[in-house]
Amino acid sequence: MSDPVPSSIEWGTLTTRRLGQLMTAIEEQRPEAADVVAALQRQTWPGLTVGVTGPPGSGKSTLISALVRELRRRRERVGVVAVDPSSDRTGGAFLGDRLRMMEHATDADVLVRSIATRGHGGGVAPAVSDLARLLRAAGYAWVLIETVGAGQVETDVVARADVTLLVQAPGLGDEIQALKKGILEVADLVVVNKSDQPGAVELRRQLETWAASPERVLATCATSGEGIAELLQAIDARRPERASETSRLRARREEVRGLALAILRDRLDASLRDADVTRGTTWEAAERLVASLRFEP
Amino acid sequence: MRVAMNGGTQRSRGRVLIGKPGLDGHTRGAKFIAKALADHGYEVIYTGIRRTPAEIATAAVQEDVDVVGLSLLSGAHNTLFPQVLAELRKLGAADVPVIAGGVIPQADIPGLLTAGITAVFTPGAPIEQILAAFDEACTRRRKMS
Amino acid sequence: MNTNEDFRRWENEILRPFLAQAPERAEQFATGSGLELPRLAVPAEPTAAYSRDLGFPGEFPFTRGITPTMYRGRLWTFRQYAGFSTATEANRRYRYLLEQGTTGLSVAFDLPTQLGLDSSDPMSAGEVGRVGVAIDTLADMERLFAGIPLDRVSTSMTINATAPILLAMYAVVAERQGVPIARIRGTLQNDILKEYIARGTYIFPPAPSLRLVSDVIAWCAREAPDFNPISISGYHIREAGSTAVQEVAFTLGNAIAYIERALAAGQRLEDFGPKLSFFFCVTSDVLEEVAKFRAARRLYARIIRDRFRCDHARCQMLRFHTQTAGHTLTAQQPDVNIVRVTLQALAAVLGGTQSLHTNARDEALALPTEAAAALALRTQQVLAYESGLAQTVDPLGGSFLIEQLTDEIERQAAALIAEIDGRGGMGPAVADGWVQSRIEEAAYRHQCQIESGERQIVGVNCAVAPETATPPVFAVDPAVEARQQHQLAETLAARDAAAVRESLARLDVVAAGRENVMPALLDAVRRQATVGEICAVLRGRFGVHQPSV
Repeated sequence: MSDPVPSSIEWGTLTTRRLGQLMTAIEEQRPEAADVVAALQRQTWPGLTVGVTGPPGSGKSTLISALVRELRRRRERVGVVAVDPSSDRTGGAFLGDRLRMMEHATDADVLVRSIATRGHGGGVAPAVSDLARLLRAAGYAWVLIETVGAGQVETDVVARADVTLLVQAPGLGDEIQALKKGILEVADLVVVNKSDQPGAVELRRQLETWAASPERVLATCATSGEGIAELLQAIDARRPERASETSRLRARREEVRGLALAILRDRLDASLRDADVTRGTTWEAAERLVASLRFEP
Repeated sequence: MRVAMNGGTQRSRGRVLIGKPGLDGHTRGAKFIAKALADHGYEVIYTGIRRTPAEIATAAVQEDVDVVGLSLLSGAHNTLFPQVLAELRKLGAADVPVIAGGVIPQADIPGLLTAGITAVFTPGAPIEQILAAFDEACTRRRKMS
Repeated sequence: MNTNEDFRRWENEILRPFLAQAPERAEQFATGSGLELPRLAVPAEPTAAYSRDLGFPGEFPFTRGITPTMYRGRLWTFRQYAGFSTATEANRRYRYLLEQGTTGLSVAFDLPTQLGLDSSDPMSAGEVGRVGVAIDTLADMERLFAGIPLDRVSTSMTINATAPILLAMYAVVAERQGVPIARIRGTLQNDILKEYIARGTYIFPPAPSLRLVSDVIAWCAREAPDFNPISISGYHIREAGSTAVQEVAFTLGNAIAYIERALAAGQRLEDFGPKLSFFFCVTSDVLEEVAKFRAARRLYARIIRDRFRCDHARCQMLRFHTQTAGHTLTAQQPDVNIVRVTLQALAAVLGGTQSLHTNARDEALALPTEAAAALALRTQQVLAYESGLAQTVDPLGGSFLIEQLTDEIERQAAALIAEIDGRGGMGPAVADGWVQSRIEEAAYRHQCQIESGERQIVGVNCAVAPETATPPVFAVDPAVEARQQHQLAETLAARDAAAVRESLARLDVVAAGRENVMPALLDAVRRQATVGEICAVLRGRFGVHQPSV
């Protein structure tokens, strides 16, 4: 990305090409993106960011595609950021979510971006937050973020959204158990997708018990479109501007906490490379490592 | 926000899009190349079959890929490959190199290269050659920008 | 009962009545030096395992062949897949092939026809007449078969999502030639599940697609009893990179799904079972391929008997067409492909195929030239007339190695089918991409072995020679597209538009209900409704399939 970023950016007039390039610069944390990111973080952009996570096979991409269809019917502009894991070994990734959203491929008001978790050292979540800000600044009032709800990184990503959906489907077995602990707490809404399949009713009942409040659990069938309008309504009702001052503050605190953790993790990794871990017990080595971290900006 | 990029994991070599324009549904070649590129360290976006040139170009621009790879076995390459190039130009992405593969007669290759395709591969081409072509195209483009 | 007694029983009960109906090609069969070749070599020492797992050709479990005399009675059909550009040009090629000794026609359609798009559709740009003949209306179909009496040839049509429409057109062409529909012979591919798995020419979602398949099966059983309504195809699964075991398991898995769907629609297996036909791939891996065909025959017979509780021999018989493997052909040193195709054809004949297509040497470069297509046919003729392979039944049967491989392929394929059952059958296993992922993994492994040199391919990673002059390749005239669009415009101008609208409205009603679609389709094509118009109606009712992998 060669062009310097102008001091005052006409966000609404950016071409798709320019947006695509800016997203790369933000994602790769290139120096020239710093000003853009700063400008993006200075204000709250109109719109709503929705995080969507769930195990493989729960039909997240198809659900997102159905949400996009419904939003387009309402003439909303939509951005989608689909996050997939990349290989630690090669740095490569096969980003396949876009394939299930191709029905919107030539719709100028739908922008889909695939992101790999690679090389961010815990930084993918902040990067995705900034991408969402950029899309909202550019006039994509709805931003949907998709991750495979497997690890901490993915949970961090969706937990930063204004509204977070956890997608489940019948027939996936032990996955629910695994997810119960972490993600269920950060999810605002739990979606039982593939509601036309056997086992959906039982799954819903089970999730209602776990989710503390049954009204947080909704059923959809993304392939037929059933329940999609209701889901959007429920998402809408949870917009942060409708939320109380305390919960907004909590969300803000949560984001700062996430960013701080990312910075810490990165410095920790850097220091760990040079640390002497052979002396004393491992506990002692860990304490020495923490004490050695430098905290000036 | 200043979080360094190498938290112990490997950076990717770049981003590529593998697209199948035209109507044929033979994905073996395209998927092999996509997987091989991912194994080689690229982030690979795969479009699936039956994409129009406009759909492929739009996806390439939204994803800001470094290289576009096209696979076509139906024989419509002389029509569709130049159309992909034209759509990329329309979106201001004429600088994105396009590498093509498929059942393409030798006689058609010079014409495709003249039209602006960076490289053309036919069945049996060794994967190292194909990966090298992507590496070269990607490096050249990243240097330019 | 020992084998010798069993052999005599077979001779009396199966062979004699068959010979009375279908005599062999000669009184005696011998090697080139005059040694007599028996019809069937059987072990001298009888064992129970032999009777159970091999038995005799023409009876359960059909391991050794589906008829008691196999090629001594009738050679396999030489069926060369062909069809280019416009109907008129394809018609010329068919007549040429018939003159050269082809005994069955095989029609390839272009991709717009396969996907329900007219030649004038923007999506068809660059594709018209490329990989096969372009058919927009009945007028094209009439040009395609002009001067070819449809009661005298059997025609195989590679068509799936739009199969009911093309079958309706074929039937109406026969009717206009004065041939009763009941007399048409041939095979419709009509295997939609493998399109989602491997070949990609699907239009509608799986449920309505399966309904169309079932409608065609029911209509053929009633109106065109000599037409095979479906050719359940492992070919494309293998070409997509599956292993031999996966090819058998996924193909038979699809067969199970079609049978269950037809049974659920109230059809009787005894009625449609005998008309189910199959289509496999054959690679150069001669021993594995011979074993694969034998294992597939035995496993299918057992599935029909044990899973569907059907004892009709004609339902248990796995009849199949074979095509040599396109993916094994190389662009380097293309003449070497002639040798590969010969080996593959040999394996297919040793495996007991009912019909065979041999690929042309230049197919890795482009569609075959006329000379290359003729040479591919000559390959079959050498095998049939000169090799002696057609003089005896299942020549490799009883080989320790072949029997062991046959057992192993059957065992592994049966295990894979059990796994598919556990996933709710082929429908769900295909819908969630499980089947596709298994094939992709196998394909990736295979290709990595080639790249690493572990799997040697002459001209590619060993015995590499500098590129020599490339052979002439078949070029489709780019003017074909405009010509076809012009013909379509003429047909549209000449037809009764109101009658077309009316027939399409009727089709819409039928599609929305549960009635068989074939009569409404016959009516629509008679009125020159286009493939695109008909599919537009069906898309409106059925929706469009969105792939997940």
